[in-house]
Parts: sequence; C-alpha cells; structure tokens
Amino acid sequence: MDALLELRDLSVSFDTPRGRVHAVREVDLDVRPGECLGLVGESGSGKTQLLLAAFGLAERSAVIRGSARLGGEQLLGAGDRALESVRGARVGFVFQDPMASLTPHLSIGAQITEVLRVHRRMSASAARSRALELLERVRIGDPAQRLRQYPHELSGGMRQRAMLASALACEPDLLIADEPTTALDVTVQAGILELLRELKAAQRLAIVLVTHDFGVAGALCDRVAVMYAGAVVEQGGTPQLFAGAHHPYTRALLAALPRLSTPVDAPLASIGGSPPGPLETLTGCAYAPRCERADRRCLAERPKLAAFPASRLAACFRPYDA
Amino acid sequence: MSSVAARRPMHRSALVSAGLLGLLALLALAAPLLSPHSLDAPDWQAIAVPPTLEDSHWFGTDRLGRDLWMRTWHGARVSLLIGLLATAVSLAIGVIWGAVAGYVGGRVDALMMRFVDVLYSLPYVFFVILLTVLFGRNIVLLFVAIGAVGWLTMARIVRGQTLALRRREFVQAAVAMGVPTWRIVVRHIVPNVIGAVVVYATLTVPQMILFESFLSFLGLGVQEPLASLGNLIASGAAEMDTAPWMLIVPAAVLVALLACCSFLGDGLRDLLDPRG
Repeated sequence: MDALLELRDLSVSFDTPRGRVHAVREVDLDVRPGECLGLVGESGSGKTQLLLAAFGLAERSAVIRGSARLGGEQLLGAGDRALESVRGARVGFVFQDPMASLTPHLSIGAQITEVLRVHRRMSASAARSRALELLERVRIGDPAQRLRQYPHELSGGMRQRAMLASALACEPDLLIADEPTTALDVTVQAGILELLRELKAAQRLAIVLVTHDFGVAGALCDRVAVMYAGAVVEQGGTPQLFAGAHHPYTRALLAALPRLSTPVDAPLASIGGSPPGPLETLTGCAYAPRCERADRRCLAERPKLAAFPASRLAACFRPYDA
Repeated sequence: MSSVAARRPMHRSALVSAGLLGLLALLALAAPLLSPHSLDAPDWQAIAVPPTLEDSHWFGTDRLGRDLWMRTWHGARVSLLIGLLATAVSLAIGVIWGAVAGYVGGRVDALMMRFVDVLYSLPYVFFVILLTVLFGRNIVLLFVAIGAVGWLTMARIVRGQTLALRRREFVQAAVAMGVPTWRIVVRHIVPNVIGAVVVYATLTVPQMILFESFLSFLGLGVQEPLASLGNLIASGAAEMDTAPWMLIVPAAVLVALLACCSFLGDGLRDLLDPRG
C-alpha cells in the first residue's frame, strides 16, 4: 500500500556557535492511510523536530535535508503558500499544552471557524454550523455555549478537545498529535485517547502520536517507531514490539515501564547513563555506551535499520531474538 | 473594556480626568453656540478688555477686540484634533511597522528597525520644521508631519511585544493550522499588543498637542486668523505685562488638557497592566 506520509533520509540540524547540533539523523519513516503510528522516545530524541521539519514548521535556522512527501507531494522546499494550504487542510496538528495552544482573546468558535474560512472559504454561518458539528463530534457538552466561550473558561480536557475539533475541521487524512495527553491528568488522558481511537475508526484518519509514554502508544497505535538520539532504532507492530523487542534500547525502555505486578518496594528499573549530547559526532551506535550487549563493532560502526521477520526493522548489530 | 473596568476600580484621578476631558472637548465643540461673538470679527467697543460678564466677553478680548472665549475654545478644538489625528497616524504606522518587523524577523526586521533608528537620530523638531516649510502651512499636513515622525516609539514597543508573542504556542498552533501570515499578525498578534498600545497612545496625545502648540508658538503651525492654543499663547505672551488674561486663559486651558490626558493615560496603564 502506498504511504500517506513518506519521510526519507530526513535530517535536521542547527548551526550554533558551539558547533552543529544534530536533532534528527537520516530518518526513514512511512505512515500508511488510516493507521496509527506511535513515535516513542525520550525528551530530545528528535520526535517533535522530525515532524515539525517535515511540514515546514521548524525554526528558520534549521538545516533540513532529505525528503518528506505527503500523498506523493514533496513538502521540503515547497513554498509558504503551498505549505499553508497543506497544514490545517490535509494534516491537522494537536500540541502538548492545550492551555497555551489556543489564542486567549479569541472565542473557541472564532478559532475553529478560522480554519474553515481560511481553507474552505466558508461563509461565517456555514463555518459556524460546521464548528458546532465538530464540537459534538469531539464530545464536548453544550457545544453552542462552548462556541461563545473563551479558552480560559474551559477545562484542560475540553481545550484539548477544542484543539482536536479545529485540527479535524477540514477532514485531514493525517493527524499529528504531539504529546496530546501529557499536560492532562490520567482520567482526562484516557478520555482523549478513547476519542482519538473513535475518530480513527470512524473516518480512516491516520494518526502520528508522539509520546514518551509506551503505555499511551500501546493503547492506541498499530505500529510503533522508537527514536533514540535523533534516529529511529526500531520499528514494528505494537503487539510484536511489546512481546519482544529486537533492539536493546527498546527492551530497556519497556522494562522501565512500571507494572502493577512489580513489588512495591522494588526499585524502579532505569537505563544507566544518558543519551549522547546533540553536539557529539557519533562514530558508532548512539546507544552503544549504555548498551549491555555492545561490542567493539557497535562502538566503531553505525548500524542501519535492517529488516527482521514480521516486517519489523531494527538498527542493531547484536539484536535480541523476538 | 467594560469587563476590565468592572473588575477593578479605576484611579479616582483618572476618572476625574476623563470627565474633565469630556467637558473640555464638549466646550471646544459647543462654545460657539453659547457666545454671540464670532472667531475673527473685532468688537470695536471692547478692545483688550479683561474677562467680564458684560457683552458676553467671558474670557476678555485681545488687542484687536476679538473675543477670547471663541478663540480659546477654537484653539482647544484645533489642538485636540491635531493631537488625536497625529496619534492616529502614528498608531497606524507604528503598529503595522512594528508588528511586521517583529513577526517576520530576520533581515527584514533588521532593515526596518535600522530605518527607525535612522529616523530617531534625526532631530525631531528640525525634521518637522523642515516638513512644514516644504509642504507649506497647512493644518492637515501639519498633523501628518507630526504623526509621521511620532510613530517611532510606537513601532519599537509593538515590535518588542510581537517578538515575545511570536514564540508563544498559540501563534505556533495558528501557523500549524495553515493560517496565512498576515492573518496571524492581524488576528492573533495585534489584539494582544493593544493594551500597551492604548496606554502609549493616550500618553502620545498630550505630547502631540504640546508639540503643535510649540510649533504654532514659533509661528510654524496654525496661522492667524485661525486660532490654536499655541498661537494664542504666543500673542498673549507679548501682552503679558499689560493684559495678563490673554496669556493666562489659553495657557490654563492647555495645561488642563495636557494634565487630563496624562492622568488618563496613567490610569489606563495601571488598569491594563497590573504588574505596572
């Protein structure tokens, strides 16, 4: 099946006075229509930068190389006009902090209708009735009232639902959700995830879910890609990945998930050491210094993503068996 | 604004100033209706009389027998008009210039702000005098000239605020929704800087009024037989020894006008910016 979003060899770096910072290193990634891909990794692993760069949202100072295609159309190097007509119309974005992502002086209705008026050139009244419909779809109670309210009058969960409504206003094929539940408490988080699952099923919406939480990814995603130090180290179907990861980093991450079955007084599992700084030039595998299986080759040579059974990929010279 | 006012009581001085300013503006507009005299017709029976209730010369007359009540309020009208229009001109240019420079950033920003710096370094008074000489003595051109030079600080204020706002998540979110740049500036940025802009604008009005009076005092502004507070004070100053009311009356109105504007601006600043 043709990929909806196709990233090839995508690198993002920044030139700073202290040297070149590599935020994303040669990432290949496909998102197919209607699937949910989880992008999992620690802070600073380049998850967000990767997606921002693909849609022309990175800082102006970013040096971006490679290719990013949406439905076959090249996004890198496309003009501002072209990108504006893609963003909001064919791809919707939801960000981490719903408190800060809504413009404080515009009513919820004004912000949802703005997207419709910009992309669909709808009349004010048509946009309004569509906004009402959208708020119902994201399950906000009393939508007519909410349209008139301002962001500070809504709770965090409702704001995130309102963000979703405007992201979905133009019926995009792809939704990029960057840590959509991180700023919310657990019950609200569950509600948002449930809503995303419904939306995905109802309208064949592809979702890229950026998260540092394997639990969140496991709850929603068909496939998971694990990022470490700006590169994808492992990719595969969620159940297979959870059942047995090839890459030692994925294993360690999964082992670090606290489980209800762990004894209360047992220390929480953690990965020793810390990821390489973004200024470092990597000669070997980025994870090698922290890896218990690393040998000389791992320190000297950089592993490429290689195919494993059941259409899985991992970048490792000494993988575990699944 | 009403919700802001309801939340916190405004300074008493600002409220009183607002009332007084309204009264002054009303008088400036309605004074001619109250007086039987005209702006420039001399009253040969009353040359240089001090303020009196007789013959309705409430503010007295000048050396040519023209009624000072009429001339003073007409002058106040001109001053207010110039103050407001010059502020509007500087507001329009300054907000657009500052918001564009701040939002677009990079080389455009550097270029636009260096242009502002260059204008800043020109002597303001000299520049306006040059413009008035160039364009002749026309009231409309006068306030355009004043406003055209007065927008520099406004542009800097708006640019600074815009720079801070550009990084805020809601602006980034709007970009991610594909909202075009001009729409982001107009709908998401400018309304956010309006607080600072309103305060600065109310403080600009008295500056502009003072500047117009100064130019008229020098003879470069409003010309006889039209009256402005500046040229009334200038001719009053010449008669100071023998007819002090010719100086005191327009000067008092000017001072009242300026004080009210300044107090109102201060009050608004405290009201809109609790961190003050």
